[in-house]
Amino acid sequence: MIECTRLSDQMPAVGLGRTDWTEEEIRHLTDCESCRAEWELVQAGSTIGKGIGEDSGRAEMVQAVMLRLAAHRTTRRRSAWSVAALATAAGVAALIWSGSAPIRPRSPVKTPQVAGLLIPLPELDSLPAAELDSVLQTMDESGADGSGLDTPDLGELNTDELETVLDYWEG
Amino acid sequence: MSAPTTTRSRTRDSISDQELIAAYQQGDERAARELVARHGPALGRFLYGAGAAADEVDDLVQEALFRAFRRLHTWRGEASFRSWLLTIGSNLLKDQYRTRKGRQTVSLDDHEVVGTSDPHAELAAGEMEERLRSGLARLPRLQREVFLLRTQQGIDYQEIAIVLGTTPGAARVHYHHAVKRLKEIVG
Repeated sequence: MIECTRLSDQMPAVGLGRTDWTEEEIRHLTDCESCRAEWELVQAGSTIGKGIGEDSGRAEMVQAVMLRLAAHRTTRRRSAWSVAALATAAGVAALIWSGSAPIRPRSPVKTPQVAGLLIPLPELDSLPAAELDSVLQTMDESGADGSGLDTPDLGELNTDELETVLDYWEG
Repeated sequence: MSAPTTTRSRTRDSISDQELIAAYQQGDERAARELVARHGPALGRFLYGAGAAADEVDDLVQEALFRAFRRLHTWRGEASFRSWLLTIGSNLLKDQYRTRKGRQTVSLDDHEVVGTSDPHAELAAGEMEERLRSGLARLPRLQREVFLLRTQQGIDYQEIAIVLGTTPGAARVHYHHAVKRLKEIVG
C-alpha cells in the first residue's frame, strides 16, 4: 500500500530527474486522482521558466556583475578615505582649539570678540596693535563668508596634504 | 595565494561553492565567474516563477548577484549558497513589488518552453506553465516560495526552513497549502 504523503515527498526529486517512479508508484499515480493532480503541478513547477533562466549565467552577466563590484569597491575605498580624513581633520582642529584653551592670567589687552562670542586668545597678547588689527580683520572676513576655522575644506586638499594632516594627527 | 592554484588544477564541477567563495575572497575573479555560471540560471528561473516579468529577470539576477557578492562575508554556510542567493533574489522581488505599490509583476509573455520535440506537448506544457504562474501569483508569498523551492529547485524542507526562517514542519504545511490551492486554481 503506497501512502500519498510518501509519494508527495518524492515528487520533486522525480520531477527534477533525480530518481524514478517504481511500477507500483506509477499504478498509484494512475489510480489516485489527488496524487495525479499534484504530480502534474510538480512537473510544471520543475520546468517553470526553463527558457528564461538560461541567459542568467552568460559571460555578459558575469562581466556586468564584476564591473559593478569593482565600481563599488572603488567608491567604498574613496568614502572610507573621506571619512578618515574628515575625522582626522576634526581631531586636529579640536586639538588646536583645546591647546589654546588653558587659562592664563588675564592681560590688559581686550579679548577679541567674534560674532558675539568672547573667546580667549592669549597668543594674540604679544602682538603689536597694528598686527592685531590685521588678524582681527582676517577673522571677521572668514566669519563673514561662513567658513569657520575649525572646518577646513578637505575636498580642496590633495593626497599629500591629506597625508600631512594624518601624519600630524598620528604624531 | 593558494586558492586560485587549487581552483585551476581541478575540474570546475568538483570544486565546492565554499571553495569558490574562499578563492574569490582571496582575489580570484574566475571563482566568481564560476559561481555566477553555476547559480545564475537557477536564480533567473526562480525569479520568473515567483512573478518577475521575463524582460526583468536579467536585471534582477544581476542585482541579486551584486548584492550577494557584496555581502559574501555574511554567508555562514548554514544553508547552501544557492538557497542563500535565492533568498536575496526573493527579497529583491518583494522590494520591487512594494515599490510598485502592490502591482503584481506576473507577465503572460511568450517564451520558448524547452524540453520536448513534440509541438503539441510543448504547447500543453507552455499552457500549464502559464496557468501555474498565474496560480502562484495568487498564493501568499511563503506558500509560493516553498512550492518553488521544492519543485523547481529540489530543496528539502530542512533547508527551506533555514532559508525562510521557519521550521521544517511549517515549511511542509506551507507546501501542502500551496498544492491544495493550486489544485483549485490551476486544475
